[in-house]
Amino acid sequence: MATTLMPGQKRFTPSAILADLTLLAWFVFSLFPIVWLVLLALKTDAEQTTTYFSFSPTLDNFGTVLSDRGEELTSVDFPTALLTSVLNCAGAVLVSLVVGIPAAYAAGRWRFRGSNDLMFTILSFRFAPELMVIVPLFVIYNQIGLFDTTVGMIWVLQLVTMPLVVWILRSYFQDLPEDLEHAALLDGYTRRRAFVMVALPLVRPGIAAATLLAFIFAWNNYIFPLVLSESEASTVTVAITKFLGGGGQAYYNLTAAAAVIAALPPLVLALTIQRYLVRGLSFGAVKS
Amino acid sequence: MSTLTRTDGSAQHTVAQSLVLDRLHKTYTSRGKTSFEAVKGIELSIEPGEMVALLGPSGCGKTTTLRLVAGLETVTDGDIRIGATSVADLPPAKRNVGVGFESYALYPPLSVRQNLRYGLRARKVRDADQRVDTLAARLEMTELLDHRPADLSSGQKQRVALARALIRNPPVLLLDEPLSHLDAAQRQRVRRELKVLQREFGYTTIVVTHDQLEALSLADRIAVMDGGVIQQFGTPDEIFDDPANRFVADFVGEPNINLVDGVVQRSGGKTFVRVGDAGMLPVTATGVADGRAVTVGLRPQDCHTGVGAEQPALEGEVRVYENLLEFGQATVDVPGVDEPVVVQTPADERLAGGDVLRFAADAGQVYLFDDDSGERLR
Amino acid sequence: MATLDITGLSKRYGSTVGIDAVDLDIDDGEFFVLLGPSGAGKTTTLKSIAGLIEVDAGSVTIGGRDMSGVEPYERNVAMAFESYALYPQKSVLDNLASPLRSGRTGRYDDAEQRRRVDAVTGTLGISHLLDRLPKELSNGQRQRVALGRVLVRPADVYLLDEPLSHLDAKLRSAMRAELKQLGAVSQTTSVYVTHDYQEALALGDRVGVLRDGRIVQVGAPEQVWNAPADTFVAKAFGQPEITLLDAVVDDGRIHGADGAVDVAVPPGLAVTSGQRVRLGLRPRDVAVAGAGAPPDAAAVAGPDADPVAGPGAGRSAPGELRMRGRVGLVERLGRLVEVSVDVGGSTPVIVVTSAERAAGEGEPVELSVPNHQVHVFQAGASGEETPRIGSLAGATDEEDRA
Repeated sequence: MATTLMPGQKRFTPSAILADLTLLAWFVFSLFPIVWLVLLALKTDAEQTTTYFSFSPTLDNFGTVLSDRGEELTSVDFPTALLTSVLNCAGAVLVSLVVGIPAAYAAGRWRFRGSNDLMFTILSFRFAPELMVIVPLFVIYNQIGLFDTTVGMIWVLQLVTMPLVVWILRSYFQDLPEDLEHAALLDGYTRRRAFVMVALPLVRPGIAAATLLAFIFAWNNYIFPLVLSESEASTVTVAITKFLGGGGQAYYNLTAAAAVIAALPPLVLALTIQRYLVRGLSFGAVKS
Repeated sequence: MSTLTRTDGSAQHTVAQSLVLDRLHKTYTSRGKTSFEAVKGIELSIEPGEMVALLGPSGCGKTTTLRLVAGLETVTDGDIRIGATSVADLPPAKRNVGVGFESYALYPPLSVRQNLRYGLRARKVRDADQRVDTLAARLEMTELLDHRPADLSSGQKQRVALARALIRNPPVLLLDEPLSHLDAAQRQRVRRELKVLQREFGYTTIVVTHDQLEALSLADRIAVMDGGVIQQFGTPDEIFDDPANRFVADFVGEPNINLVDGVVQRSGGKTFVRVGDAGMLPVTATGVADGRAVTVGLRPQDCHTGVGAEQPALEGEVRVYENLLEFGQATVDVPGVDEPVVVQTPADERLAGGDVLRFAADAGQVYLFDDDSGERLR
Repeated sequence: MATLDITGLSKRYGSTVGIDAVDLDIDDGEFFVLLGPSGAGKTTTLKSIAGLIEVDAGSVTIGGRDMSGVEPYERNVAMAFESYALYPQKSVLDNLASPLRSGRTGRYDDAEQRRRVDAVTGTLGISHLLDRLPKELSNGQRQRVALGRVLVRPADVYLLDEPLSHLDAKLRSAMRAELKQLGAVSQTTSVYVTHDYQEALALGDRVGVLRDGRIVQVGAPEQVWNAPADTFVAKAFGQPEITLLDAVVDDGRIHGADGAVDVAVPPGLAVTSGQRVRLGLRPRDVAVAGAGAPPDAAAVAGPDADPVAGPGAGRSAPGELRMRGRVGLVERLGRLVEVSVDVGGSTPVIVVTSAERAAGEGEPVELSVPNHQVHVFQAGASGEETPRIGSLAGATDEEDRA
């Protein structure tokens, strides 16, 4: 970027410097909460309400959160909640992919009567505030016995992730030249084999992106597990808040430590999946 | 500045300006790593009102040169002068050049008419609408005026970009592949109109193109470029009839020139070149030593058939004959020559695969090149 | 190998017409070229034959078998796509072997697969590329691989969609010559789609001209060239395109171009007095005779261009149309030059001639065109395509066509 100056353009004009300073300020402002969270997680109980930057950092909070002592304080078994979360989210993402990939392919390839309406309906699941549907869902879940079960959580989180997967992958399938599948058909392959052999490998970056985003959305969901689970299927998002103490003492430092731990699984997933996110795999397939 | 209005009969012309590129260099450096010299000391002196084509394959430096003149790239070394003024350090807006670049985006929310007026409004031109209409009619785009850029095909966008470059009557006009997206018939008409407009208003013009036909038909002079260097600068006639080296001969002309190995032979005070096992062609080159191995260039359209057995000629079996009705095209296997030789034949002379064809060319149209450097031998 | 019959094939995309009632009968082993501008329905026709799009009406019959409702993979046709459509994640070898491995194009064991791939790569000169991925190839190489994927196996019909269009001029010309030699192509019923009239003339046993989804004319290259069905076909063949001069029939003579044209109506040409017509002159058919007309007398017709009398009249020299005019632009086209000559009227006559014979800009010249090369079309509004009536050779011309 720095080398693409035009003739007559100066590097250090007052306006350029002002623009840089504005950017810097915005950067600091948006990063501050995360920094504060990490700092808070390293503070002792005595220091947790201070705003000094100088303190004696400790890793004890992480140990507390992950041990029985955490459960004693909050009545939530944090490690179990962590595992439940992983299970719920992985389940929701899996269901979304298994159903969503064929759905996205169909939506991306064929225009049929009402196909746009259908896509809009799928998307509208995302418009509706979760609070709007939560009461009916609560009633239904109680009636049919899905309340506080893993299956129930996967089912409800899938409502969040499926539209995401379908919409992201539909655009990937749309970008994929139809000629490739046509070529496979004329080579003598059935439509199913053409899909598996040609289309699927080429949207791998899209699948990676959709998986990651869907997982993060499911992971961060708070209201569904809060209302639709109690102890068995409760997730980390709910567990974190318990450290704030329901009426009892608030452990800000423990909350922060729990939040830091909870942020790790999506981070690890993002790092592992990163290499599949590269675009341009289809380069060379067709003339540009 | 004098903005111009052309009303019929009383054309106010731009004061034509010369354009000089003086030992122009452009080197791209990426963080001190390996640098790439895209333009290597180009010298070009363009007369006021002249249209010059920069012709070459992609990566030859022609577009970089144009961007340097437009002010979209900084000059590494050398100078650019419009008239007597050095513009190398001026920002693009102060250079007073009209730019018709494909990548020079149109303003999407504005209609084509508004896009065209935009440049004029800034300069307070009266009868702007009339000017837009007149220009649009000449570029066959009247029906496009009320559309938005997003609704246009790439060919239509190209005409709008051309119109936007022309609307301000700039003394210097820079066009990057201005006709590449038009269909063949349109290209021919717009090309002719562009040439008429250019002459009428006397824009000093640089056109960048990779299409040799476009360069030949449009330009007063052509600079053929390769590897950041001008290979030859001359009129279309000079470029086509008197190529300076193998590259120019090969790049200009369609179908491509045949390039075959040959050996120079002198006999009876005349010079010939021996091609293949038994072929012989007359040449004009006198400064080449007897027995020297050379590369022989022979254009398909310069070949004539019906050559007597006693005259020097090439002979071979026709591998493929294509009847294009306006003329025929034979691909001929000449014994001792690696690549088949392509020969254009008169329309009334029908051939078939397997026929034996004897053909030759005038001495002045058989070019000799050095085997290694590719330089023309005369 | 098989015949290919198309009857009443129609396809609409929403409100736009893809193809409209296309009829074609293509012989066993014929090389048939579909020519038309982009959007004319060429690719739609090909894909309909392949079964890749569902048509609204009409039928495709290959080798006598009605293909309605037959899946693409059961039709035994091979297609080279304009986009090449190579599988990006597969090597050249795997791309080429793909049709042999599906099991629906015949049974090929590993050795036979290898033999066929080697044969086709040898012919196309791409044997050294077998391990490369498509992204590592140049456009010319990709195009050869795409063609190879078609030729690697026998099929009833080869469908070739603008296979040369993205190559540079040099490669295109060479590949055009090569394509014609390929044994597999010459023996297999092929439909070749292009917008390049030279490819159509050079390659086609017959040519079909498509416009806005309809077939305008089908015929051998000489037929469509010498007797174009209408102005559209006339414009489609030849570069620069044919010049159309407005003229009117009056009292047994045709007047046009502000007086530059004044010739007798030849016998056998079906025009009536008062009828407006267009005269079509192909740039390469117009000869530039020496200059010499006085500057102000440009608008005088040449000597009356007698139409060729009917057979038996004993006149051997064919008549010609003559015009005087002034040279506008001279543009070099390689060895030839393109000259636009102002003969009066709004339309300049475009002439293509050799560089040596070209007059300078502004000079007066005399133009002549043999009568049989002066095409007469019905008049129409600007941009409207109108049918051909005949030529100034009149009845003789009609006999030639018959």
